[in-house]
Amino acid sequence: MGAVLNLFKRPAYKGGVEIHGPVRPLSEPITTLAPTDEVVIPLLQHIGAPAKPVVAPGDEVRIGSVIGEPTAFVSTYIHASVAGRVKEITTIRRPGGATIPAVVIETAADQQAEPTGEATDWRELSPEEIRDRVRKAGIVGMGGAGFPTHIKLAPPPDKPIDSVLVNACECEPYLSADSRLVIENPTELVAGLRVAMRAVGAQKGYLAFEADRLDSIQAVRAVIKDASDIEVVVLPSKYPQGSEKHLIKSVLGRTVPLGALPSAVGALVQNVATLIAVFRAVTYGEPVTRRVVTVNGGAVSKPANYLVPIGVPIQALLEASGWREDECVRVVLGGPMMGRTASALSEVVTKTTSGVLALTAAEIGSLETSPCIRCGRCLTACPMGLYPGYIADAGVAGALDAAEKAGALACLECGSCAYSCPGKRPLVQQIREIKFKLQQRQRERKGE
Amino acid sequence: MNGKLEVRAAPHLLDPDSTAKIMYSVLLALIPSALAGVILFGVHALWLMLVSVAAACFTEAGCQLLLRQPVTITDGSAAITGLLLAFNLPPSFPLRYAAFGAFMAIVLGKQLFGGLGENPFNPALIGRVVLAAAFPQEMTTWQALGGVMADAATTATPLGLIKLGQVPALSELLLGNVLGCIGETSVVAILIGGIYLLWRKIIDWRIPVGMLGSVAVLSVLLGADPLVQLSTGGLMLGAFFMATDPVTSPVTKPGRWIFAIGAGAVVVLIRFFGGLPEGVSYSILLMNAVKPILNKATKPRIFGEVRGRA
Repeated sequence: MGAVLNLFKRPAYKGGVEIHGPVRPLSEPITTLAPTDEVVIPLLQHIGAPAKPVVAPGDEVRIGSVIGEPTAFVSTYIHASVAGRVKEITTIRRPGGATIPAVVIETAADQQAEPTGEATDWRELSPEEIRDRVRKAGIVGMGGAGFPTHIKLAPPPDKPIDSVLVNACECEPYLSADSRLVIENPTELVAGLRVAMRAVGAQKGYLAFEADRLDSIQAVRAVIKDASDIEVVVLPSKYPQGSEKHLIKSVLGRTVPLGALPSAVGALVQNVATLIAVFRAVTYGEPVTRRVVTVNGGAVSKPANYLVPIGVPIQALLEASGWREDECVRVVLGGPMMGRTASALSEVVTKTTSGVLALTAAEIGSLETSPCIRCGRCLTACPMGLYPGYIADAGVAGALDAAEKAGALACLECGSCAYSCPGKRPLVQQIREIKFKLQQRQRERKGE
Repeated sequence: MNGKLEVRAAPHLLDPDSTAKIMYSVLLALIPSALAGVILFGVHALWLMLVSVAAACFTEAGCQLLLRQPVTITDGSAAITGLLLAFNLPPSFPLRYAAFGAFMAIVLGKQLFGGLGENPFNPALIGRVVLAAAFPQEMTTWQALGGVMADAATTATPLGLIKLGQVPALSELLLGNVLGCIGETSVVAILIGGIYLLWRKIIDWRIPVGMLGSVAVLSVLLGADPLVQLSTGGLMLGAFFMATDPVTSPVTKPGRWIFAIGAGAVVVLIRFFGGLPEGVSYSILLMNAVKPILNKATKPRIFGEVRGRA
């Protein structure tokens, strides 16, 4: 009843697309995947500065041992995801060309974890203590952004937060890691939300779902019962429902001003996996050493959700799922709408890897481009109210000012426009290039 | 995957609709009207369609070869221009003139501006206007060389008859048992195709609804029978197949409303106060010209944009 009412009363945002993607492997429980013989743990899995290695080759580590420490304000801790011996400190190349340090650990036969202390009741901790525990646990936004969570949990004093939103929309097709986590772990999720509310001093918490996640909704409802501090909100299944700004609009009816953060309207949005990690860090002192990853796509025979140690190569996940190499043209890390392609199978699972998708040519669709016929589908699809085709044209023509005036910098890169384009124009790629040039110009003008 | 992973920018899923699919759907939607044209006006109507489509495709390919550009006649857009032009010709129109019209539609209406997507005006209508100027006699001679209408007792179109004070029966208008251009007389056939395009979401309902609605409302205000006004002349064909051309209509929803209502108003203006019996072509061309202004004036607001900031 409440769910139905919510569907009608919530102000939906304009734009977005209905994607009829394949069914997510929702019904199967999460499978634990054993570590590979060797894991490679990058010391930059977040937005900000890389951590500096604090182990040396030959050191023995256990699950949860600190191997990297933050070097700047926006940075965080990195922990060993397996027990074993540090083989070497190497460098790996990130997309874009930059290199970052990584710790290679040889997995031991005996998988021992760092001892944790007694379980702490988070209600007895101050916001400061909560943030400190979150920071020590190396928690970052696990939905994909990777912004260090302890910073997000410390809002500026002039912008009080009244509402914490759990983004349980998982609006990208193919992915179901978060939905599965909600089904299997609703108690820790709800507790994690209350921890976050305490940390920022918010009175109200919301759990926002897309309407088709019935099992997840039921699971959290059973935990929340009659509690008045938390509300379950059911939203229409429309991509990109899980975009931070659009979630806030749908749930609270508030519009985050362009260029501002959610704190400007008193809101904080957290991802499902992140909040569960927050709860476990605060209660047991447990750091982030593994995460749930969806493996899916037309080129795997057994789509599944795996609980995987950080640093395991994606090849291991694909093989566990019955990967058909000959049919696979692209491997995507994350969702099909915003994820990036993996350049090698040796790329590893990090704190922000929500999915590993092995896609076939048939799934991706025709890449043959044709001229823009001004059909306006990109404009209708854009959740930011932009005319993506025009911005891309301006960019290709080198008209940076026109592109800026048309709002290029507001682009979320959600991919709704490129998805809808019958001409198969690479709109996101073109707009991303423009944004890069505009940001570069802004920095130059500032004289940096 | 041959040992290589494709590295590409997101998104990695694309809507199955492509430009060619859209064009072929439009061609499919035009088939009922083409059949009606042949049944009503005989085999010459079929020849007109074939010649016009062939001329349009040849011209497009010729231009692209000359300009050293990839030949894209398989995308179906030139064929649509040719077919729509044929639909806008009288049943006895000479074939060589039709070929000339298709040539001009592609050259003057499309390729001169840079090809698909770049033309400001509907190419088929440009072809029609050229023919109307070049061959005024042939463009206004209404005589079926075969088909159901070969025995017609009159040589006037319904709109011509209305100007003379005679109103044709509505049932005849719906079926298309009247004189007129070969693709425009059968309202039923046009609706079949139009509804298919609406269902496929290839055309925006706002355009036919806005254009037909404004003609109906203004007709009532001027004391005419709205149903007769809707089902005569090229209005139905124009509202579903010409005004809805994505290239030459606005991209925003409010823009499309203004475009469609404006086109309907110009139709009524020409029909009731103009010297010509019919004005659908000119009304659409006129609104085509206004399209860029409409796009600019109805630009959506960016989500989160603060109002009133200079």
